[in-house]
Amino acid sequence: MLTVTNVNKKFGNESILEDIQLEFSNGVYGLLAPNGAGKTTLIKMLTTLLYPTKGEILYEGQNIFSMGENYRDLIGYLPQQFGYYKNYNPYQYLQYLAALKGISKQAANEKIPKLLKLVALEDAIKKKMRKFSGGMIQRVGIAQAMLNDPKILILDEPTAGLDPKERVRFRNLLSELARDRIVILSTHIVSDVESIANQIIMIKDKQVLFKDSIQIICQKLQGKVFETEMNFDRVQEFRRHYLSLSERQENGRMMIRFIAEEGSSSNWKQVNPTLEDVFLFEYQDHSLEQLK
Amino acid sequence: MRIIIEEMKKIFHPVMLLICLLINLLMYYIFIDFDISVFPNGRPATDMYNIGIEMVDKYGHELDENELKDFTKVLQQEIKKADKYIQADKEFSNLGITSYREFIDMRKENQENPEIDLLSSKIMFDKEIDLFWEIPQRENVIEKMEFVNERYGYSDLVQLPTSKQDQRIQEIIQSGKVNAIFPSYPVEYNFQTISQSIAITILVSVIFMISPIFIRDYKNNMFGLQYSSKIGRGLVLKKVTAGMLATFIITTFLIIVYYGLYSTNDIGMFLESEINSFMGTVYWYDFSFLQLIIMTILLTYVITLSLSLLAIFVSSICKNYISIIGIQLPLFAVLYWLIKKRVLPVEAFHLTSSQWEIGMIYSIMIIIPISVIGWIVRNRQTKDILE
Ligand SMILES: Nc1ncnc2c1ncn2[C@@H]1O[C@H](COP(=O)(O)OP(=O)(O)O)[C@@H](O)[C@H]1O
Ligand SMILES: [Mg+2]
Repeated sequence: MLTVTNVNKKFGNESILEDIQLEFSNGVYGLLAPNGAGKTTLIKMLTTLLYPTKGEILYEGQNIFSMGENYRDLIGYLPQQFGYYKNYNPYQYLQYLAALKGISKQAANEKIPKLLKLVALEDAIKKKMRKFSGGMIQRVGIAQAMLNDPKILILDEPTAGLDPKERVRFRNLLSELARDRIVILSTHIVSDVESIANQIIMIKDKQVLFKDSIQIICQKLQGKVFETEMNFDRVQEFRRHYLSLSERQENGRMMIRFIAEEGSSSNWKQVNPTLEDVFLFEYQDHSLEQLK
Repeated sequence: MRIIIEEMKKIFHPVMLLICLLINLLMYYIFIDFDISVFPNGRPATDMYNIGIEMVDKYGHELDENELKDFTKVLQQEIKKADKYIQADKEFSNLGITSYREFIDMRKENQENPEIDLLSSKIMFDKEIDLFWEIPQRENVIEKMEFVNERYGYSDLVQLPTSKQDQRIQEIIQSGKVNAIFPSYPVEYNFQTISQSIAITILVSVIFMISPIFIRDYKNNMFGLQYSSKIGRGLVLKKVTAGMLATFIITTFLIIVYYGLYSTNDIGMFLESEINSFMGTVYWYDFSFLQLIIMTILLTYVITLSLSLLAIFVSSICKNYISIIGIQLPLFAVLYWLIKKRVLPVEAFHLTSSQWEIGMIYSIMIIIPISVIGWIVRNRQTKDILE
């Protein structure tokens, strides 16, 4: 079990995260927040790259920084901007990281082909990485995170650069991996985590806003999400009163999904809130919030 | 060890090696080649070199009194030969010259006389008569031996010797070491210039190969992965070790190559000669020529390892290659200046080099790089990895 207690992080005088309390046990955790919310900052503390300004991070009751390499031995990490050497092929690259992870050459020699097969790159094992597409690079990144068979897998925006097909593959892979480990996955894209995360963590205003299952998070908006149909000329006016979540055209009219405190019209249809609704609601433009 | 090997693989990347090879070819042809292919360099260097070989052949590595007498006899025979040559030559008799002595005296007295000048340059430069080149060199050797008590060591000094310098000079004379046969001109001078060039070439190679050590990782966004892996921030020390090992390998390899090429200069017969010779200069220590070479090589290691540590440090604090060059260039310039001033490595032990100053310079070269690297290694332990 990985526990974050009372963690604050400042860069200089600028406070980025405040009073973060989190607990992780096996399963997929979706760290969902817009850009700049502090996801990467939190993840870098979980990977010992950043020291918390205040508070502690514990693994099985021990401070991860005093555990040192014993802790780092347990984690697999895919940084948001993860690095590689362009002139290395995946085999050389993974051998290098295996060395850093304290894996013997022989063990790595066995492991590397299996991992590359897992991410469907077995044919590119001797191909220079400079020739790789963004998706291929990202898959090498996932393979490297799995090299040491980590107990804690931490992925910072891992789906960036993956095409839709690869995303599906990737999600399936993660659910599979999460059976016997902690998987923490940060993203600002709701659909990345919607189908696989056991728990969603949202960060807002430097603090943890939610840490719950999708179901429970969605309940916060229960009875407040509606859909209705109207003529285009009314849309402008409507948007000024209600938070529009999504809009699409249908038969020359506009279908709008929106939030309201209570149903006040007969042609409003109440619908079940989704995670996307909550995300849009919570992180709606500041200006809109003031209007309400 | 596995990490160190992996790090060294990055340093010895084939493309880097290839560029390093080109740099070395260039530097070799610009700086080193001349002192190898043109040795001894013209006359009278060649004559002095040949006389040196003859002396070692005949007398061994020291010249005792009897041997000096023999050497003087050889000179006299040569002068006789020169006399005969002069007597047989019409041009000389036309000018009324009948012996070598007369010729030399006339040349000295009538410096403006175009006829003697013309004849002299004809003999020396057109016909290149060995006798006329060798005799002055032989006379020179004998003169140096004759006046060894009065002059030895003084010709190297610009100012009057300090009491310590004087003591050292007297010590060499008294112990008899001064009798060593070692034609420092041209052998020692050639060794000094070539050692400078070799040291500079190795320095450039090492800076080139080592400088990317950290910035390569930074530029490739590797820090996050590296410092979150099991080894974590301990990687800094591993990389420093890899850098030092690589420097050692590069330096050793280039030393073998360049001093190997130097050995084709045929100086083998002088290796056992003491360098504090009446024919040459004064050193603070009783080294043989071979020992001088070994000490020079050792100092070359100190210089390259020192600058390499600095290069590692600079690489770890810089965010781009331009600033690396910007910091390395002045550092290199200082070392280049010190080498060219002959402080490092070749004349470190020379009587003209204050051993106190040399000790200071080398201490600084050892202490500063180690301190800044120590600082970086510790600093990385406690610092956030922001990149
Ligand atoms: N090295 C840094 N120095 C100062 N501020 C930083 C630094 N790194 C990130 N920040 C700030 O911290 C906030 C959170 O950034 P980040 O954790 O990268 O967010 P996310 O990953 O959610 O997009 C941003 O406002 C960003 O500007
Ligand atoms: Mg981020």
